[in-house]
Amino acid sequence: MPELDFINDQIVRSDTRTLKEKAKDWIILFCCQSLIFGVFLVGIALEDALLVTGFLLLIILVAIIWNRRPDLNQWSQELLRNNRHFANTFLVLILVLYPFIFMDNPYLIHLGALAAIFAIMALGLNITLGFCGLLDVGFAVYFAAGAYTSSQLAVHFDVSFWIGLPLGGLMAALFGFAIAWPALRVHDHYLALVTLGYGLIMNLLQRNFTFLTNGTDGVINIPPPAIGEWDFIQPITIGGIEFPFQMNFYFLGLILAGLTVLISVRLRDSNLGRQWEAIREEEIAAKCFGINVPFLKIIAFSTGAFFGGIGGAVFAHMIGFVHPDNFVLLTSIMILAMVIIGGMGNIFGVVLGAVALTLIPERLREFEDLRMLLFGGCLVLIMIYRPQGLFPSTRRRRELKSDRVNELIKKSGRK
Amino acid sequence: MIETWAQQLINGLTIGGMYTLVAVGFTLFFGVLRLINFAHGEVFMLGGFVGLVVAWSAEGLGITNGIIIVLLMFLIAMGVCAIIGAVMERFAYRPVRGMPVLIMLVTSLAVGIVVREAVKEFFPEGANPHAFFSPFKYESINFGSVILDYTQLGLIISSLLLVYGVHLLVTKTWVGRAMRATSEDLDAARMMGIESDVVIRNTFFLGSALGGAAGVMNGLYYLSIRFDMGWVMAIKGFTAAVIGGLGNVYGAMFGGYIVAAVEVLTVALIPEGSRYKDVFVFLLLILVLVFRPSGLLKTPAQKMG
Amino acid sequence: MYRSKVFLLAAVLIAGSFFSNQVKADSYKLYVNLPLSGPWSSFGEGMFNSFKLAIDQGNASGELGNLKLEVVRGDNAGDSAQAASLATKAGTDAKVIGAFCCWSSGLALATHSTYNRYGVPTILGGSNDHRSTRPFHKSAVIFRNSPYDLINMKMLATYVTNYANMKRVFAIDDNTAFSVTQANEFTKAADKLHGKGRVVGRESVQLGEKDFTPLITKLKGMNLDGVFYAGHMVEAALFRQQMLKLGLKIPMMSSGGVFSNTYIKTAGEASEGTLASFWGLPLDHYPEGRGTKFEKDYAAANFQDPYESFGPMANAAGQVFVQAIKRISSQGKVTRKALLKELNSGRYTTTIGEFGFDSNGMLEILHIGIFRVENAKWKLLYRTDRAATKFTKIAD
Repeated sequence: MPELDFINDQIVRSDTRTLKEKAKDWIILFCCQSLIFGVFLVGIALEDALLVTGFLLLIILVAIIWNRRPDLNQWSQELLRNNRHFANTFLVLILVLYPFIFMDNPYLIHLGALAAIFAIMALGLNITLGFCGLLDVGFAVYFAAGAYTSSQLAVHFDVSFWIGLPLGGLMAALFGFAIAWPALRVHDHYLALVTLGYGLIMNLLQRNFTFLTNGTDGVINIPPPAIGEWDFIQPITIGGIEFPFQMNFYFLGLILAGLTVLISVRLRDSNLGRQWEAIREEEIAAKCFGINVPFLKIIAFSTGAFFGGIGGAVFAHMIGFVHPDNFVLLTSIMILAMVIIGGMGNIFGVVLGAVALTLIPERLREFEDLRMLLFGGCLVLIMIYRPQGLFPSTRRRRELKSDRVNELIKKSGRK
Repeated sequence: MIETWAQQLINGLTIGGMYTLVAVGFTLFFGVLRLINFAHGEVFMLGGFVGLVVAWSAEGLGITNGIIIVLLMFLIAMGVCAIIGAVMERFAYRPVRGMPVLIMLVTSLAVGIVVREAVKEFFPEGANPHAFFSPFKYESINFGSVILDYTQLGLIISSLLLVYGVHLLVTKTWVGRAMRATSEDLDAARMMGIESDVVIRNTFFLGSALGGAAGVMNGLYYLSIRFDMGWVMAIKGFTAAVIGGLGNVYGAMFGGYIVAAVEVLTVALIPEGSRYKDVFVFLLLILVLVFRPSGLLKTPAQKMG
Repeated sequence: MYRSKVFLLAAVLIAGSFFSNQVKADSYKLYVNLPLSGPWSSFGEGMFNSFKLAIDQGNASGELGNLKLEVVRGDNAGDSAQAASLATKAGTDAKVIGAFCCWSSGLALATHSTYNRYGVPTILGGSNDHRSTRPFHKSAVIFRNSPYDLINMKMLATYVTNYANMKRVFAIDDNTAFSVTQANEFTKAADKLHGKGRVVGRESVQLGEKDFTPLITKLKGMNLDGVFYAGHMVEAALFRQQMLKLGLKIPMMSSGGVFSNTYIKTAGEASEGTLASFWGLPLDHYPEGRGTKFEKDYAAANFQDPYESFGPMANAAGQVFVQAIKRISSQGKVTRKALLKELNSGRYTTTIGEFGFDSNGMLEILHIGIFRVENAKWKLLYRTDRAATKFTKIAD
């Protein structure tokens, strides 16, 4: 029933498999996931430019083969859908184990924490862009709002991180709210330009409103989060083994990202999410059905921004330093690219996009100056060959595919 | 006091002329393709670099007449940029044509990154600023203490001429008519037998050539070029195009001068104002987008032309 | 059975190679954190090459015994966020025992807490803000082989008010941490010397801007004696050229961000007469011909890029590391702590002279010069000592 395919995202079919079939599925899934994760681990630990190239080429090759084989694709999706609880449990287990595997290389744990933070922000943008279809090219504004609010409160007024975190999120939501009003009047390109201009203005103000942001000096010496006497840069020692302190941040990020995923899922499946989807698909029709479009758009902007702010606050306290350079247009594009590459609207895809785009530039560091060139080139290729992202939500996939097919038909003159 | 203002007027006209040339490209691309081509700023930058290479090789060939070198620079830079623009269109924008706005937007941003980084990497000493060739560096016409540079004069006049030329091309020729038809309604134009691919390619030829010319002018006027000068020009250029109304050639000119006026006035009137001049420009951008998204000039009857 | 044997063999081989690595692993890393790409890569490359030259010479000379030093090429692209990330990378790598950082104030401010957090002995090269080191900051691991902007700017202010006798000066910064601090400190120093009023105004421009004509037209009506452009060279070159175009024929002062041959090349004839206050001297002014020796060695090493203005200091930083590590390796284990202790107490013979670090981690000798562009070369006019009070005249 391909027509009703999108419903499958939400409906869990009744399970009719025997125990033996189940076990077989689980074993296959376990092997596949272990393999993928193993490859991922190898990739993340590579340090040599040549090896990184080979590794990336290998992944691209696999992706191409995968793309060419719809049966494989179908099979894997079926497998995942039928065993979603098992697959999810395994994933969580891997995420929890990750820092313990790299205990002697804390930098990788640090990167993991960074990836979690960017996942939070990408999920935020996913609410605005993926759920409600509102372009936002100025997402760094909310990142900045959260980071500055929480860090300045901590530095000047000794406000604890645990209070600064929600306040940062709320401040960011306020910034989202502020741009949502003018954004209501414009669509498509114009909306992109409004948010782009907003991002540029805010970055300039961050540089120039020294009394609020310390200007280009940046906010320095931001204290790490603390619980009572213990703060996050003191390593925890259990049974004589000292765990690097990056793990504290990693688990903080992981928990917050997990919460964001849960909230995202709930939002998507809620009444609100359905209404957003209606607006995304056809605004006028949505209006005709009595959906309060302006109100819902404002909610979408503010909610997305809120998560941007949360990510920003954690980022500020983890890095210990906030500077306008962190919030330039390239940051916005990066977060945008995470959502697009992962697959707009698909929560798992977006998280994966965030992880990939945090880690890959770090690996591309081996190429030094060519890093940005490669990044730009990859982005162009992805836009051309897989605009729907790695894991598109079912509906989006169909939309983009049909567009592309139509275009191809038009070009070749066939019917 | 009056001298200061006269000087500021000249400054404004010069800056505005340059913005205009870039903005016309944005306006044309948006007209036929509904694409804000952020990589256009990089085409502008390439124009400067091509001009520089021309000047170097002219020196090598023993051409000493400054005027000839400048003409060669313009011709070759415009030609090369036209081709580069068309190549970009063919290989990056055509595959994503008709896709959602966001995909096209990100593609153009990414193409921009690629071009910029490629120049930085593969041009000799690409990361450093390069001194530009100019036959009349500091020669000027003086009215009292008001100074009008030869380059400034040339820039103001040639930007007006080029915009007028584009206007003629768009309104009086077959090529232009096809462009206008495409920008009105792509499908209807196609049904009338207009090859949309050709029209779009022509538009990219035209817009990118203007961008290249602006790049050479930029080099001649500021006497140095650098790989990262494109982006700044791109944001000013599309701001100007939006303010004048995307799809409207005269609007682009109008917008270019408005943006320049905002910049000059901010610096001239507000103490310590130079740090806020871009803030005002982008504020104007947002206000225009929100309250008059069709631009300050555009009326439905005079799209493109 | 056969298969398990193969496995065993493989395991032994892997373990063996691992151990053999461990045995000859007397190599340590020095982590360089510089702008090696992006707009300031010319400075960064010059510093990196000069630093690497010193380490390579140390390795080749055999002074270090069986110990090898490896330079890690960390590129922060002039971006504070990336610099902070690299500092973390350096700190978490157990093989890294020292770091060389950062070229500019913004980058130093971004990284100093991280280096301190991990206890990585760090030498700051380039032009860095006073707030990155003791006594202004608690970081115990940061040493500098460059002066604060405070001292540099004091010299410039003294020159402007006492020697060049300028009455009305305008200060312009380009809104980077480095530039804003310099403009601020310059204003403070000038006020301190002669009371308020010498610096008549202040504007900020943005990096990447190309057109300064409206601003210069405004300055033209202000009857100024000089302009202090406390920024980076690309904009400075444009600013200077546009000053001449608009007929504002007054001296332009500048500092470490402009003092470079690339500036002269970019600005062309307009650069003539530009003044710069810079920490460092022409190479032939360094003691015992070590400066010229550096120049020769650098040329012999066939690097792609010139050593730029901060090359000699970066070279000195490398020499400090080599000598310090040689001493601690002869006394015992090479650790970050031992290196820190050694840097705090030792004395070193380097390209730019013989020095140690004082209790604030500041090098003892300072050479600051006032330069002017003449015939497309930076010419030294005055030089001064650490207090920046007594000037020695070198040329007119």
